[in-house]
Amino acid sequence: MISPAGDADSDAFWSALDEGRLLVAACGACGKRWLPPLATCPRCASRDVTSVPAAPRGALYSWTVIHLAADPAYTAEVPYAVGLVQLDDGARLYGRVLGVDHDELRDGLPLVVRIGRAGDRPAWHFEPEP
Amino acid sequence: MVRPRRRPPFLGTTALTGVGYTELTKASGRSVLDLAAEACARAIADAGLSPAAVDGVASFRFLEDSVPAQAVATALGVPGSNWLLDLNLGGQAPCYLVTQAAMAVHLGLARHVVVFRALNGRSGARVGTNRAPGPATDFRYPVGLTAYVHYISLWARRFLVETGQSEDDLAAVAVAQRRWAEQNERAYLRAPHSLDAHRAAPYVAEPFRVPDCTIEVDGACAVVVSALDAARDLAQPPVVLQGAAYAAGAGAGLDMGDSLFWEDLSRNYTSLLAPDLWGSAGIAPADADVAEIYDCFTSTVLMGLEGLGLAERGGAGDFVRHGKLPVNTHGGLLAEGYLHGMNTVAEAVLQLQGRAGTRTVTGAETCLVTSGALVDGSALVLAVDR
Repeated sequence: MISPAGDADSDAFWSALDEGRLLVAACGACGKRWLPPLATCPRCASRDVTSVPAAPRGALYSWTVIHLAADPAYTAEVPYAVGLVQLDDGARLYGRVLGVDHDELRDGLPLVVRIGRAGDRPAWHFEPEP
Repeated sequence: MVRPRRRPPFLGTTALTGVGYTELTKASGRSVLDLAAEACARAIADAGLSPAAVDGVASFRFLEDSVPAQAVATALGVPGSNWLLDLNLGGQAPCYLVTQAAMAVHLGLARHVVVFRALNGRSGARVGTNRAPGPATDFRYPVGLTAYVHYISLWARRFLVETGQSEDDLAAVAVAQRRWAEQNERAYLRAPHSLDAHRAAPYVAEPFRVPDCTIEVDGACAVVVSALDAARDLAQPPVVLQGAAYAAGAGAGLDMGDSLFWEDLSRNYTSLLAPDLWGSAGIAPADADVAEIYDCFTSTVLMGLEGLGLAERGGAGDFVRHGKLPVNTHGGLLAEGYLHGMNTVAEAVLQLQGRAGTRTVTGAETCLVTSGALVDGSALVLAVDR
């Protein structure tokens, strides 16, 4: 597990994750939701930005199955699936996709967000809807 | 939304006048500056110039994996520089740098500019696994996306989903380019390749198998940019800049691997800059005789062919399979080696000068070149001097 470095814009996100909660940045002016957190809205440039709980569900937008980890931290885990998921609130997020055969990954696959653990700290992943 | 513009005045008045390479190896055992200086000296000599005639140097590097322009000016004993430029960029840089150099010579800020890329990209800092600083990597590394091939595989998958193409269409790119590489003695990979061999190759990050990925090497490549009137007195036929464009789309992200703000991963910068590129050159896509398309991975060739209007949406795999146009005649970064796209520009120059050996496309007068893979990039239309 490689730990995030964090910065002033995203520290709140990582602190909440350590408490088991997944947040997204939210624009008070136009309603956009996104990650990674920024001090400005990437759609309307408003500074009325807060953090709100992420939508608990989403759909698979793209995916890969990684056979060569590149970083030794993950070598023992290959092959592993990583998805790019469009949450129901519009934010997109990368994450491990667990509980699905790799050859059953497909466009639009409904997924739910779960907070599990990676190493010694909380981490998000995606699973199929129960 | 990229705004259309009038034709920039450096087009039609500036030219590429020389190219230079080092050997491409797995472990050079040499400094990056040594490699850079060799490629630049060769390019300058190729143009029929001496380092004393060069007064501009430009380059790019990714996370400090190379040397600044001033170091090369020093190593080559350039008596004085009027124009130096260092960019912290990746594959989107080569055509962009040539454009900047052309602007400088057109405006009289410099007479002859050498543009280079040098890296110990295999034995030293490897571009694909260097970790960019900033918050976006925090959203990739902890989930196991730790290399460029991982990020771009998500683009490739979405592209295949959206266009109804398959991994065999990716394979067609690798097979076609390796056929060119067989004729290129500089190419790192020269053995024949086939669809069967491709299907049997191990995956790196699905849908990419090993031969879908560029071959990382140590080496350097350089080109010389001059004003067209001066170029006509030099050693090689001038290769004229007729079209140029750069585009970065909305949501270009926080670093070079960040795609979380990019809406449609099945389309890259090529579809954004195509109108400006062809418009600035005053030609249609079908008028291109050769295309040298940035190919860190096979998918970027398909995406580029479609984005630039050379092939129809969903038709790039067939376009390549049926050899509709000579594409990546050096074997590309897939087979010649990963000099980060500077060699893609140099191959276009060699083609239009008729100096690409048996690879030379007979009668070619116009060549398209692109630089970049994802959210931003640059491109040139080059032509013989008429």
